[in-house]
Amino acid sequence: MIALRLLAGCELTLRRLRANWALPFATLVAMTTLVGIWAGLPLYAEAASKRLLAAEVEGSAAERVPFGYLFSYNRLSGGPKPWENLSPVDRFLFGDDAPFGSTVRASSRLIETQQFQLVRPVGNSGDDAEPIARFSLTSTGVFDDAVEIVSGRAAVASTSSLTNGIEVVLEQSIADELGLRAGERLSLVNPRAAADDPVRVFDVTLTGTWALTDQTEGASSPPEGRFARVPTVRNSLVVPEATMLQVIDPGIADAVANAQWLVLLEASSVGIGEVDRLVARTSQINRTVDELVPGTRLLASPEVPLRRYQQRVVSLERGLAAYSLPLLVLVLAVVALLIGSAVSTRRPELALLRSRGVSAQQVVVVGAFEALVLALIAALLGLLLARYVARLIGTTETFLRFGSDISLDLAFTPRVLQAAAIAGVVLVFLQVTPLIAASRPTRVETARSRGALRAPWWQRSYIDLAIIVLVGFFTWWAIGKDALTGDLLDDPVVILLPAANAVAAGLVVLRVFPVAMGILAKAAERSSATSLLLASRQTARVRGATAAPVLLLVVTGSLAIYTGSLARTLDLQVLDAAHHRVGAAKVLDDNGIVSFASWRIVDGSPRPPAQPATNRYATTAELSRVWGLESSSRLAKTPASLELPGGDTAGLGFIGIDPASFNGLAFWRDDYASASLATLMARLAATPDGVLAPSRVLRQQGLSIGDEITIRLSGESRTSTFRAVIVGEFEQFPTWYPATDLAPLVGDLSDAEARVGPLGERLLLVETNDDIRDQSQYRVDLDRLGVSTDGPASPETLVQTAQERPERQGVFGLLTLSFLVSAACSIFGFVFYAIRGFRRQVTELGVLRALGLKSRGLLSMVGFDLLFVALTGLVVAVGVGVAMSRWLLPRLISTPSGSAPALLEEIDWLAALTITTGLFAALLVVGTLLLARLRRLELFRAIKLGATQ
Amino acid sequence: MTSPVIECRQLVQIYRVESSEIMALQGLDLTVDRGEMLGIVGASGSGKSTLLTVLSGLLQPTGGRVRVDGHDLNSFSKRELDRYRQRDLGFIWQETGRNLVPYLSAIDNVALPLRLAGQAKGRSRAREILDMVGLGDRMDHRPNALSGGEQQRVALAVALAHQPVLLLADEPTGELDTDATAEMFALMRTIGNESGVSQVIVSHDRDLTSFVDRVVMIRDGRVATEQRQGVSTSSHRAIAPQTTTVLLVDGVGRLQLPPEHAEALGITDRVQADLVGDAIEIRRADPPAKYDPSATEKQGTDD
Repeated sequence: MIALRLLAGCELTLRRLRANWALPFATLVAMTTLVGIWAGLPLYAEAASKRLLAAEVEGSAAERVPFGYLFSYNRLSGGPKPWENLSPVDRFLFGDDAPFGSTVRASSRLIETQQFQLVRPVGNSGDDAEPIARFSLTSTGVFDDAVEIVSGRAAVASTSSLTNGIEVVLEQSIADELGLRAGERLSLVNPRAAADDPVRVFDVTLTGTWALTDQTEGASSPPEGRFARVPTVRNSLVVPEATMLQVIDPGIADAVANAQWLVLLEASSVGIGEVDRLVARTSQINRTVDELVPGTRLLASPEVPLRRYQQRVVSLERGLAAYSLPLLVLVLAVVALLIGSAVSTRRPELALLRSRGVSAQQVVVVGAFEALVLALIAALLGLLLARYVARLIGTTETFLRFGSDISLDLAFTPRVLQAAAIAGVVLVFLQVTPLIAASRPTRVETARSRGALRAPWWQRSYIDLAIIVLVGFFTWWAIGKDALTGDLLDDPVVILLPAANAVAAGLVVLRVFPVAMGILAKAAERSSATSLLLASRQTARVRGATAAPVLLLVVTGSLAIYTGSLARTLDLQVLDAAHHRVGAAKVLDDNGIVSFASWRIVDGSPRPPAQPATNRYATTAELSRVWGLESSSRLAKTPASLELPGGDTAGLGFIGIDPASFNGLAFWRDDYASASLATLMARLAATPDGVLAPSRVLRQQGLSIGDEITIRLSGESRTSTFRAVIVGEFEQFPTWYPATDLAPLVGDLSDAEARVGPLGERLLLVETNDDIRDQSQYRVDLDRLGVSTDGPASPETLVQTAQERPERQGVFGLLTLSFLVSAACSIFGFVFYAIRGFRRQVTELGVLRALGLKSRGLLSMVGFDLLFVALTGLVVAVGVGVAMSRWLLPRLISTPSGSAPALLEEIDWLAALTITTGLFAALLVVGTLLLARLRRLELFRAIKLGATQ
Repeated sequence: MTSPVIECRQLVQIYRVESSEIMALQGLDLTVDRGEMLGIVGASGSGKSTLLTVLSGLLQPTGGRVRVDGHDLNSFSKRELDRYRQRDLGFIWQETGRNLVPYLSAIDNVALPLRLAGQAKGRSRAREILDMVGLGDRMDHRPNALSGGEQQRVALAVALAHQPVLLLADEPTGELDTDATAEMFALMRTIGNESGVSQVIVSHDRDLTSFVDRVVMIRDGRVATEQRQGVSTSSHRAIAPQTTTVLLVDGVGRLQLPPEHAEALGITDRVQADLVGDAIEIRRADPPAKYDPSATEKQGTDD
């Protein structure tokens, strides 16, 4: 019977979904969006994490710490041993049942004997021979892949006795130093062997010399070649592993002095969820190895990179979770709104079923089935959407700008699936909860509750006022703290606080809105504008109905503008910081032209001069002849000091520039100085010995523009003290970092060079022809003038480096997503309100039409209603969004002390325009649709339809 | 003699609206026999619909006792009330659109409560009952494709599909034209006769009297008068031929005078009742004499 009941419920659900698909479809879209964002974040975080781990592993290679295990047995801890005594460790680490719990990429062992004396071939005792050097014999598995044979050939493995001799190879430079050549036959003497030991002396053939391949020397070398780089191997006679195990170890007692085992793991297969397990396994492996061969030590393990990786991932995920909170809450609110509306639509049907004896539980079970079906579909579609969300975040270059390439490996890991499942459960809960309430009333209770137009419960219980006060307090507390100067992810209050403020603003509006509408209605009573009167009365009366759209409009609109402003501000900051650091769009190192004439030839070889060369720097005329160079401006820095009254000095820097060309090329912002750059440059050019000074130096020294100061300037070759006039002041100057640099005076470079010769650090700000076809000619010309084209990193490179950081990419991706979703929610909320409002008003419209109100009047009434909501929402949203961007943003986030340039808040007017345009477009579309509907709607039907709503 | 299907004793129902109270039922007594078709008439706000709501178990009466099919509804838990509505009760409401689930066809509407009650053969029973109400050829149509009368017949089929002991109908013809109304009442009469289901029908329609066994008029929350089919004697104006109106006396001996009688005799708030043989004579009572202190003094002086 229960099965039959369930089946009936399921059938009812499916029929209803088929018949009334619009609202469930909208709900499904919103729910899919929610799951998409919910699951998309861990999907992105996991993929970004893998990139982080790869970065960690690459970093490890450079630091010579592999992502894997390195165990070492040293004779100092347990004395030399035969290989047999060490083989338990070997079998444990390299056996089929590898204990590592992750894919092993490569493994290798290193076996080193005690030292022998290398001598020229002698008799059996070898005592009378003069040792060439002391060497151990070493074998390592991956040797051949990591080195190249420079002369001769590789050693061949020996399988016979030691007395027959063995083949070895030696590192090239050591061979050269010792004067050994490939093919030479030598002897090794074991000083610890007894005199009558047949292998006290045995022959070795140096078959070749080796050197590390270029690849193995580089930072990006594969860690497998690590053993080839260790000093042990470079200072040994290297033998094939078979020779070591089959000839040397059996032939010499306690042959092995040192042994190392390297196991490299595959980093790409390690998920963040496996870190703890792998770290725990490290301890276990270490204990086992120590038990098998006491004294074996763990030199390197994946623990450090794994822990660092885990820390970054946790930080990334926490930050993203916090940043996504407003977005998720927003989408949740939309989902709740739609579900509430769907349940409200179903109330009559539920009440009918209840009145026919269907129990509340049965109603809920049937509703739960529908919830389950929708949540399941949303979860599945959401997972697909999650890929797009993760891709969108992963391709975000900056706010609302995406790259085409994504270097993220997006995989539906258990954590992502778990996130989707949790989102699904939340959605079921969200759908069933209002249903539980709606399942209780019967027809009688439903009819009785209809028409109640009270304020929402949270207003009646003053919860909104409590929220407003709380948000106010936290805002006051947060802006009292130091503004955020570090990583955005470290302090999500940057997004959470404005979100809370947006909600608070929305709640204030909801209190004021009905009052304002009431006042408007009173005013309209005195006029002949019937539609205006009716609309304002209606809007003032139905508080609950307008609450959701107004709140949604205010919150989403203001949040969209704020997130846009935040993103643009941060974006601009990155761009400005890069340009400030570099000084211009393109900067080259001016190394100067070295005077080769001063070099001498001694014994046929060039030798540097006894005295240092005096460099000459390219002149403006010479630079103007460089192929493809449109314009250039020189900039040089040197130490200086300001002589103060009383004989004291204040340490300063000096930046020399070409005033004539600096203006067109240097990076400059209006907040750098109160006067324009052109004005400052003109003053510099017009005043001999004029300098610009930082405002704070002027304040500290009690100086002002027009004052004369005494400067001591140090050039490359000499110093000079002279009087200068302050012709202007600045707050910030390109390339100057108050945190690390002394405050600089800025003066004419030519004047300075005339006084003290060339200045030390020289840069060339350049502008090139965009269409330089012959790059080589450009380089040759510049090289000839001593200008390096491999100069400081370009602003674009710095920006790109900053933009590629997963943390920043994640934040900007989320901000972009938040903006897009917020804007969409604003418009959706409005359209939703318009349609629902129309359905709610349809009876009233019918009655008004019957009373003689013309179609145009009806339309005006509906239009006014929509306009009140749209305008209120829009005006408040833009006002709050701009206020938060202007007032909160600079208080929540600022440049680190001493960093430059200062953060400039950028209001995202485009966001405001987008929302305004979108809303008015929606207003137009909805208005047209409603007009068409009104025209089609017959009077009796309007009233009848209203009666059955 | 079988026990009545409905027994209401001293039913009181008070609604709270804002800060005031409305007494919808004021000690109503009513008995309905098994298989009887009872009509209830009365002015708006007299308590007709409230009575039906109480009888359907959708509303717990403020006071009094109500028994349906021998069960005391007051003692039912919510679960038992659900079961009562699902098994023992059929209900038709006035608004045609509100009796049916709009997105289901006629047959699905009828089958739904049966299937939700766990009956496997709900669909065949639905077909059977739709045939009975004359909608065999319209059973696959949705409510919006049916006329008002057809919708109400589907609602009747829904209400009768599970073979309830009692059918309650609140203005079932309120949205129907004269022909459809007559058709509906005739159908209900026929089904009542065939199935033996007891029916309580609230209606404003004067035609109702000719289809039901008995009509009671509710006034001010109490049953005031009763008209029975086939009683030929009439002490005052008959509503319809072959019927007579009797005044009902409640459990504590109260009765309500027909307003036209009271008006004709100028009765306001007092009557004088005298037992005359096997009848009670009711006549207007003189208003009490005003208290006159001088008269009292005079009387004292006289003593």
